[in-house]
Amino acid sequence: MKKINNKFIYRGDVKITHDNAKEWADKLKDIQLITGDLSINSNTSLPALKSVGGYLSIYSNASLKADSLKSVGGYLSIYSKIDEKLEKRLWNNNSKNKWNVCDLCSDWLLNQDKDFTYHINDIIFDKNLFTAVRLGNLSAAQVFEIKNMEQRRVAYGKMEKAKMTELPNLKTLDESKDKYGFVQRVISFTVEGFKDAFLFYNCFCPSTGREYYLETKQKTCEAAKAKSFGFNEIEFTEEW
Amino acid sequence: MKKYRHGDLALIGIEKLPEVIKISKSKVLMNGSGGHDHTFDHGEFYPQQDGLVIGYLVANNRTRLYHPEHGEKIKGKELREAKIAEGIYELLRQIEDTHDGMKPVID
Repeated sequence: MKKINNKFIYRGDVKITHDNAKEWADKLKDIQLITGDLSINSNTSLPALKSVGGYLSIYSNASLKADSLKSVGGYLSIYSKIDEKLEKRLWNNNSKNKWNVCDLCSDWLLNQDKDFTYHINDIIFDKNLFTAVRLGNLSAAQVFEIKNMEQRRVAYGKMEKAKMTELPNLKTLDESKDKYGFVQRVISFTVEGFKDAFLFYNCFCPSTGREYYLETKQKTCEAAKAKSFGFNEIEFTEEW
Repeated sequence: MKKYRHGDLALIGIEKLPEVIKISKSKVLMNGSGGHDHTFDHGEFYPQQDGLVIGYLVANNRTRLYHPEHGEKIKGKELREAKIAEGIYELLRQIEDTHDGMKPVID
């Protein structure tokens, strides 16, 4: 790469957010090299940028327009849907780097068959499960078989909810509202080869509103929550 | 006695610390996947694994819990924050009661 004039170099890390995007766009409009990490959390255009010395991270719902960007020194983490030309240019010039990819990346990139780290909604998956979740190939029973609770949550969130009706003998055993106003339920269904029904406690995180399913043997919501911490009953002062 | 739930971690108020436990310098109460650890600031952490119990936390009036997903959002901060009352807490990890037996929640 040609030596870049000092005045076109920004020395340090850059973290672009909704609050500072305009300020950074002005400051970096002629910059060709950022020596540190570049983190994109809001839509940004960096027309002169050719190279990032450190890590490049593009987060969800942010787009990066950087028609000259080719080289990245560190990891590339693509957690957003970016322009395919940029994606290809980054790949062609940095394929030996470590890549974090997500379900929003193009089929072309995901088919490069590299040792990627696969993410969906910030949760890491192995390649097979990532592909199955991304393509909607899992049955409801397969979603509930996922051992990792966060992966199960994401897979359930991505699943066509009509698939729930495929679960044999699906029943709601208990339903109420928790003290934060979220619906909580205990559901049951049967699985061929198992004598006992499978029961799951369905609840929502009061901080994020994310929906979870936890396997239980209890038939009521209160008992399921208490038992998951080893109690027969419990009233939390506060929950987050 | 106060009882808090911080995602898959419960903090249950108790009268006194068990004997023969050692304080830790770590600020991580419990690891989560992808760097989603349950951490704290101000207070004393005494790790001790025993069934669902993972240790004890002595909280003062400045103790705060931190996690990317559990707690109040603080503008400009990546971690959410939760304030707990002064006291001694037993720390319990959440489990799932599965067809294969009791298993810690994996996240």
